[in-house]
Amino acid sequence: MRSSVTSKDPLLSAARFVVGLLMGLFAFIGVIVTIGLGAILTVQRSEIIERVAAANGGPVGYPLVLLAFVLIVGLMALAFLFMRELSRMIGSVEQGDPFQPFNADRLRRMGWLTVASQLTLVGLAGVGMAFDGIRPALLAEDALNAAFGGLLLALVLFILARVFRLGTAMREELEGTV
Amino acid sequence: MAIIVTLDDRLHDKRMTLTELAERVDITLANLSILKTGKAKAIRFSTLQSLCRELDCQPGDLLGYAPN
Repeated sequence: MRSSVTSKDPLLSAARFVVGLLMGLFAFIGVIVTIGLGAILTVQRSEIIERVAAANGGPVGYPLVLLAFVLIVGLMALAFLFMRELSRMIGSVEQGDPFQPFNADRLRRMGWLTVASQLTLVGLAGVGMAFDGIRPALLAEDALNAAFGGLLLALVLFILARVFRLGTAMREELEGTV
Repeated sequence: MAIIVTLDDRLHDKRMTLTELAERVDITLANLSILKTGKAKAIRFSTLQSLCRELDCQPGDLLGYAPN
C-alpha cells in the first residue's frame, strides 16, 4: 500500500534520475583521470615534466601533478560512493519503509564521505597553491568556503542519522503496541 | 518477561476463540496473537477496554506480574 504511493512520487523519480546521472558522471571522470594518471606515469612522463618546468613548477612540480590526479580520482570515488548510498536510500523510500537501522548507517557513512571529500578538496587546493601563478589567497578562500559548506552538510547528515536511529527505535516500539 | 498475559485463560473461561474475539474487539487476529503469546511490547488503554468489555473482566484478570 505504502510502496504503491511512494513509487509514483515524481520527486523520488527525479532524484533517482539525477543521482544515477551523477553516479555515471563521477565514474566517467574517475576512469578518465585514472587513465590520465597512467599516461603521465608512463608515456607522457617526460612531456609533463617539461611542461611543469616551463610553467615554473619547480622540482616538486611533477609529483604535485601526480598528487592532484590521485586526489581527483579519490574525490570522484568518494562522490560516487556518496551517490550510491543516496540512491539506495531513495530505493528504500520508494519501497515505503525508510525507517530502518541500515538507513541510519547509510546517513552516517554519507557524513564521513562528506568529511573525507572536504579534506580531499582542501588537499587539492593546497596542491593548486603550491604552483606558481595561482593567487593563493583567492584559492584558500574558495577552499575554506567549500570546506565550511561541506562540513555543515556532514553535520546535518550525522544529526539525521541519529534522528533515523531514534525514529527506527520508536517505530519498532509502536509496532509492538497492540 | 515479567508481565504475563492471561488472555488464553479468559478465552477458555468464556469458551471463545481468538478469531471470535478479534472480530468483536475489532483488532486484527495477528495483533491479538502477538498479545496472547506475550510478544507485545505495550497495550493501549483502548485495547484493554475492548478486551475487558468483551470478556467481562478487569484489566488485572488479563495481566499478571511474575518477578524474574
